Amino acid sequence: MSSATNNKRGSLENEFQRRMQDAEASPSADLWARIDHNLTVQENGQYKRGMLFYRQLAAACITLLLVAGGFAAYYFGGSAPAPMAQVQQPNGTIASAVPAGTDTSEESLTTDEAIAAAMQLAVQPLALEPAGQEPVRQQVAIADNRSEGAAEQETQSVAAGFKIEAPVVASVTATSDPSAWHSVPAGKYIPTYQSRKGSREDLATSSMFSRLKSMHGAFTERPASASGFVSAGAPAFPQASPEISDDFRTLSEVVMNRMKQLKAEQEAVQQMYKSEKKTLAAAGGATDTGKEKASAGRWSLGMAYAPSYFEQNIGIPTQMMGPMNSFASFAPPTAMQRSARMMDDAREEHEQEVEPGFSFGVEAKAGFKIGKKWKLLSGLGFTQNTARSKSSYVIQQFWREPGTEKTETPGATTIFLPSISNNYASDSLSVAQTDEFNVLYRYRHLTVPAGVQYEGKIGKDWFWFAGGGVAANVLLQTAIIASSAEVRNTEYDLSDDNSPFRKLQWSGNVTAGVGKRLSNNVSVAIGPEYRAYFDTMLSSPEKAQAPQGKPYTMGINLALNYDLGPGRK
Amino acid sequence: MKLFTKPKSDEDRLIEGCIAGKRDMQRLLYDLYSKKMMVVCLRYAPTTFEAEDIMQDAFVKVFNNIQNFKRDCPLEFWVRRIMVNTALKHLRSKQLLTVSHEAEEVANLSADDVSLSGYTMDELLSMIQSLAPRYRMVFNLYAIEGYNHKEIGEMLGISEGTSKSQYSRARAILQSMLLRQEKKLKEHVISN
Repeated sequence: MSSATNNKRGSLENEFQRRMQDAEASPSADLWARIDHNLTVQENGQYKRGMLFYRQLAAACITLLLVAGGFAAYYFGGSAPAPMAQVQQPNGTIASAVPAGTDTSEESLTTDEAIAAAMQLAVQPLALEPAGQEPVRQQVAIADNRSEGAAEQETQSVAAGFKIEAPVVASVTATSDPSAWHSVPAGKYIPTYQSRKGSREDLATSSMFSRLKSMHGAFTERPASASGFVSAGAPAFPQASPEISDDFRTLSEVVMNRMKQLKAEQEAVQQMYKSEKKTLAAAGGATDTGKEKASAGRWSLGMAYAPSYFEQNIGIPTQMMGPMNSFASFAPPTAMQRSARMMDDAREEHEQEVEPGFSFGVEAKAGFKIGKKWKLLSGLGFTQNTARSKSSYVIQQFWREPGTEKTETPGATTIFLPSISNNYASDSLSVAQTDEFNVLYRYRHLTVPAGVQYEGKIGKDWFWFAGGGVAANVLLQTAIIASSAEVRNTEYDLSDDNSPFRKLQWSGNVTAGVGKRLSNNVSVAIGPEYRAYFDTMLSSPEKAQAPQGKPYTMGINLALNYDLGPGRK
Repeated sequence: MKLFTKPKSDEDRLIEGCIAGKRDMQRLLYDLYSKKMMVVCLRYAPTTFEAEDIMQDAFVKVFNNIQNFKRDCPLEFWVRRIMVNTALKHLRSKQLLTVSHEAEEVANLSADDVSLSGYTMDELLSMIQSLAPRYRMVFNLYAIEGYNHKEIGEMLGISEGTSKSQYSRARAILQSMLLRQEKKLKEHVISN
């Protein structure tokens, strides 16, 4: 019989089908018990994954809030300049000009010393130095032991319930007092694991804090005469009173304590979950590793680069400026009219020539998945927005010193700065026409973005996304750079009070696009992005001589994303 | 007031109970189909232990996915399909679906002279289980489940021609086994 005949359904097939179709065989009695157990494990796993998810979500939200709060506290917390900034002041600056012993200087000194003392106090208990060096340190050590005790108690209760090792205890014990380490009941923890974990954390903390200590050492070893805020012969920071409260320091401590607590809780929950799975696996229960892996990879890291078009929307007046009134008293009518005409020409030229320059933004973001489609994003970024124009007019301002006939001038500039603010008053202005030169307006921002993103599948590896968010933009530097040697460049730093530009700018952005997964963990995405700033570039638009618009950018967002954990399967 | 609501059948209530995660309903479904499904698993697995493993995994899948059951076919058929797919996955994970060559002689016999009436279920099952995994799979899918060779090829990741040739070989091996059994039986009768 040929194989072709063997492929056709015959009596053999029919007979087998008839006999097998309704055949029955009893499975072993414990099979249902195994299935029941398996289902119970799954239900518990789902519950724990849910709990873990909400904990992680809470941690992400708290971290976001704390970062934003810390940043806001840093930015709005006080106008007292940092010690380093004061040290770097040249002779005759604020620090040396203010007489020692005045209320203002004492207050700022006290605050600075308190911050320094707090830094040292934070360093000392963890650096494992010999005990009893300073009485202040013991207070902090007591506080630390109290929190460690709470963490240990929590972990012990978890470990007692599930018979697991507790790395949280090991790590905390390793960084605490040696006598406390020995008070841990023998046999409860694996010594090798404890020492390994402890040593690793010791290395990390000691190296970090040794760097801090060296920085602190640099402070304390600085000669008193070199600084305006450390008085001669005065003791260094350790003697500062820790009771002095400082909002930023308190906030930082709260942040650190909360982060430690959350980390400990997360580790305990994860350990508990893993150990239970191990126990159940050992007992014969089937595991659902796929779902576990999926829940492990909620976090992701990403970098984005966005070249863009920037419209600064800074208006300058089309009518004669205010200073020309005073100019009238010093110049003959014909010269005044000629200068006024040239000013108008300069402004008109600026209006016509100003155009967007190359702008870009880079961001490093951490993402946290909520469900399968949504993602919370936050991070840190830097943007450089530029505009450019051409000019053939040079403006020079003059002031007369009161009581003398001596005049002062800051140097030649373009029509831009004298036109944006009424505060730019001067006793006289001179306008001169020169060869055409280029002017670049550059704004550098540090950005702290926070947003949400929604992802949908297109194909196997392709996806689309849409998202939006807000960002706090701190103006780090503004520069107006002219290509002509006759015109001075103008730069404003973050701490420059003369800057007419807004130092903190909030913005909102929307983006959408497509992405491709290059591997289980790595994906790239591209799409247009629109960013609108909520305020004008000028900090006091009401003082401006012309209506001010709100700036915006339009660009292309290129992103590279890395999913932590096992990634997509 | 719902005047035209279709009365729910027992199967509907069973399915809804399982979707709600009620353990007593799940037990009921298990009791209803476990015996038939055990035979399905035994046909695909080489041993009873493995058959039970397959059945355990398959029933967990049934309970986890019963909300996806569209009721366009009998529930038993849907459960059976999950059993078969789980068995395939199980054997694939153990890499038992590689092609092997039977060492035994294959007889070319006519299919018409085969009768299974004298064999018990255990004997028939042990014959199927003694086939090489790939042959057993193709034989089960074609002869008993009723899939055609194209579908089998897609399920196993092989070509239609390979499925046909493997089925042909599996069939010949089974016929050879049946013939030998018959000879033994005749010899036993003559000697008595």
